[in-house]
Amino acid sequence: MADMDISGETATVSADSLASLRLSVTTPWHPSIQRPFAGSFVQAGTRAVAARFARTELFHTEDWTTPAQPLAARLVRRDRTRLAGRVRERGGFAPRLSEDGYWVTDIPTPVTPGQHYADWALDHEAALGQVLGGAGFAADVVHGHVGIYGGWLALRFAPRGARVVVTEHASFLGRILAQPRSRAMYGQVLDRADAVICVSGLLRTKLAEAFPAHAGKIVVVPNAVDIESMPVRPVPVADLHRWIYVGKIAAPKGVPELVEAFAIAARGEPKLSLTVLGSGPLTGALRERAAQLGVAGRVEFLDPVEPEKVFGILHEHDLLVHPSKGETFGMTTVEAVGAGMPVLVTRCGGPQETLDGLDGLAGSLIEVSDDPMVIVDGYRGLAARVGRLDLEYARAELVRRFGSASVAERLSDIYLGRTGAAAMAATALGEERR
Amino acid sequence: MSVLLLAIGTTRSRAVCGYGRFLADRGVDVSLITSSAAPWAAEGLEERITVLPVETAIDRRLLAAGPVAKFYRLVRPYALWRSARRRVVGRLDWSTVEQVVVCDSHAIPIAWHVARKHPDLTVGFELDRTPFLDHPASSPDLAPTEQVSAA
Repeated sequence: MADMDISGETATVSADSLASLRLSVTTPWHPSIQRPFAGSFVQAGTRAVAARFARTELFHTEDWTTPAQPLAARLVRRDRTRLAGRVRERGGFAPRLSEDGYWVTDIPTPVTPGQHYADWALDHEAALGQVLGGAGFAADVVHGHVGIYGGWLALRFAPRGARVVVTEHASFLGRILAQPRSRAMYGQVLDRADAVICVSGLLRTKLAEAFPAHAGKIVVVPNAVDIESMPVRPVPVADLHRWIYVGKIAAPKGVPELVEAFAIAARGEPKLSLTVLGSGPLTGALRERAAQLGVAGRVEFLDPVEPEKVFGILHEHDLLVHPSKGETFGMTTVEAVGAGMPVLVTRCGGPQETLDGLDGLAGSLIEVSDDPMVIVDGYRGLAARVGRLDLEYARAELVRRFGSASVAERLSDIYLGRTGAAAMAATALGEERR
Repeated sequence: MSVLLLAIGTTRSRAVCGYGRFLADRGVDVSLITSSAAPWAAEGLEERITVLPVETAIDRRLLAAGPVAKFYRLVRPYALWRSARRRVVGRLDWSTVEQVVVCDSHAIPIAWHVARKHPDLTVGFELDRTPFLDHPASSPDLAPTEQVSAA
């Protein structure tokens, strides 16, 4: 892509509606045969707006990890370039029409472990550039997900005059900004972007502090969540005996503290059980720990299932416990409340924003802590006032905040550039609450 | 008619197993060239799929340290291609192979060499399901991400 200029121009889309425009979305995460659960928020956001455009295409640059050894990685990369050229010549990399009404091109992207985000972004650029065959996106609006990946690709491949929107929802933003080269690339992305969307106020603050000159174009718009179509728990919760955790089984998610907390809470309550639904590096260790704590028979570990099956499993439980140490948004929590489940969730970033004003109605918010007693106390407090939950109201409120129609309206305004910085800020979740 | 899958490791095992199940359910012969057969049963690979291991003697001895291992890691992609050529590629009946699908990055050098050797063969990064969609499936319950539409 050496012949493609990096344009610092601010684009204007001269249209009153999106109906005649083409949207290109670029993302490192999207559901695929290998990762059916990845990037569901990108999928939901794209689905929400796809029908408003004349054509919507999504380019999914998916990490394919190469050997770590640099020379071996170079061999793989070289042969990938050769093979991709052959595939493209023969009509490969053809987009498929997803069930959500937009076109998807999956692009295998060799990335070498141990490198910087800047290097990985360049890997993504090389892979996408090959598929596009030296051209840019055929689009009027380009939406890149995650600044250093999709944002960088939007910068490199958006045609002059196209409006560039970047959504940041990476939990690793801090690590990106700590790497000088990656940070410099991020700055270029912000130079080119017409609007930058953060999915939480926490992320917006972090990004605006790092790039104060661009603070005016950074707004908060939450992830779209298709709450309207989620099945609601058929029977209202009467007690909180059956706990469930859904997500990665890893230390940053607080799962070790959850198992400890469950063992403490379960001592005096024989009806308590815990289901851990997911996979991750601590699965084996936590099985063993549950056995050591004498609760192996009351803690069940379930492998991940297709997203549509999660709700059925949720409804067989009484309480979603989400003890994460940090979330930019906290999709699991929002989905659980959308499905009519009470939640016990840490104030780990996203959840205190997504559930703002709903503490006590949708469940309970607890502090982030390494002390399992925080979870135990949170559970006992919530169990004592379970009758005061108002999950119907909480769900309706979340539909208003994050429902597909609501988020699609905000995105459409941003895509059309209808709103200036001040007006855009007024649409921000954080501003609404003040 | 057959399909050859290439996956040296199991980092993308869900894709490999998904492709394998889709094809096997439709009566298509499927083979998998991989480093070692050992981990695939645990990954859920269909028994109907023929596994063709190409691990080298050095892989089998698990040389994890020392100068030989260090050098070997540099050239492993090439060494695996040489092993695949000697043990599998030269013995396959290529007249029946309809598609070769490379499923992880470590297998890309093998895929490239196969593509060069067989210029008319379809070699891609994902399974083109189109030729098999009219085959009756024994378990038609596919996840949305496993479905396909023509462009």
